[in-house]
Amino acid sequence: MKILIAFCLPLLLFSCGKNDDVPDKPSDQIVILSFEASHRNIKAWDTTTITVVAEGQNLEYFWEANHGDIKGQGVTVKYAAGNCCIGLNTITCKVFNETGFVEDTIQIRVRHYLDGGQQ
Amino acid sequence: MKKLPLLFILGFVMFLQQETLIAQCCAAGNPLNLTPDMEQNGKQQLQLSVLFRSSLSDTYYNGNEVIDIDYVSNSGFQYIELAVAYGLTDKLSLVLESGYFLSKYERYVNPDFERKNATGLADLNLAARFPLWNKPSALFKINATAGIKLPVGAFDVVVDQVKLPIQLQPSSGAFRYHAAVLAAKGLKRGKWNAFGGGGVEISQRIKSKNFDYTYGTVYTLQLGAAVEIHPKISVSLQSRAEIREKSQREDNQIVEASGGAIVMLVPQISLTPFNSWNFQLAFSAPLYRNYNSIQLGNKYSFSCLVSRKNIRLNRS
Repeated sequence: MKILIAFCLPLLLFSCGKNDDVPDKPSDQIVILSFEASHRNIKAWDTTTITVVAEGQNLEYFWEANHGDIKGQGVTVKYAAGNCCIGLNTITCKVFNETGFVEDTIQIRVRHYLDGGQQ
Repeated sequence: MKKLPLLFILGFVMFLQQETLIAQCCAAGNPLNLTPDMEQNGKQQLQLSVLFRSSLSDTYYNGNEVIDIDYVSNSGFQYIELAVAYGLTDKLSLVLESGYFLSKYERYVNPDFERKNATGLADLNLAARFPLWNKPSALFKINATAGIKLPVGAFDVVVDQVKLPIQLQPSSGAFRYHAAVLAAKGLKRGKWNAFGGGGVEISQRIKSKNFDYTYGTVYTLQLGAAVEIHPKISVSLQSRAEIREKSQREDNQIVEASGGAIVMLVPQISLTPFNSWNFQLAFSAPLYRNYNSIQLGNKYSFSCLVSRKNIRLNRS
């Protein structure tokens, strides 16, 4: 039993923690003015630059994509995805400060790497 | 002399610290076991083990052909797993395995992209191991394992205010069910052992606020032989096939660039320097691969295991 406890204790201590510092409540003191991507239709492994412009005090920015990678941090990031992520992918930016957060999403279509279409 | 096992472990830990040990990952959660385990714990006997696993991928494949893509330069992981196996009865052992990713990373060709790295607790594996058929006089036995991997570890990991992509998450984020059967036949009075078996791992849907994904079912087949070259040393060689079905994303969309077949060659050496202590090294390199669409392919993986068997809990 002691061994079982010793084995499981670290699991209880370290598992399932929240990994970001974004407050849970929406804020009425932050406004997203624009949220744009340089390209909304990209070939796999190409990149597009996504920029958010927001108004508010001491703003911080949290990014996530349901498929693909986000590079960088802050107001401008780059997004890229491989063939694994062909389709319409959603990128979310949460802008937050001590008053709460606001969020917006943008969708980027990723095409097959061997597809010859233009951006 | 009794301190030698401790020196083994110390050397092992120092080995983990080396920066040159790099590796790969293509899926969230604990990596699949490489080497067969035919051992059955006796009643009320405990086995403790520590496994280190490392793997590297640095080449993209379109089907079975190399394709030049300037994105990830290399990707890998360093993973450590603690396991406890306990003989509930003479015929039934319970296994508890918990893994931790010391590093799970991607490096990129583009110098503007910083290396991404995740660390954290992986999944918890609960399994039962039991004999299906055992005929000691013929040196033949068939063992079965069935279990569940619980997503207790780190998922939705964020680095620098950016959520890491799913392939870098330490935990799989979903329950996974697995079962395997392994048969072994002793030859030449048990000096040689031929073994073969198969397994399956089925993943449930990952459904977090950000991710909606179901990994394809994985089927494994293995065939190999082991020989005792010294009373304390045995070596084995196995071929191992992994066939992974395509994954699914939201709205049941099939992920075309997922899954495929890979056949690996796995040489292994097993040392038993002291009674009940076992030390194993295994290396795996693909012989054949055929991925669906374009994927980053595994180059090699390496594992190292230290175990202590036959620990009696009931000393009366």
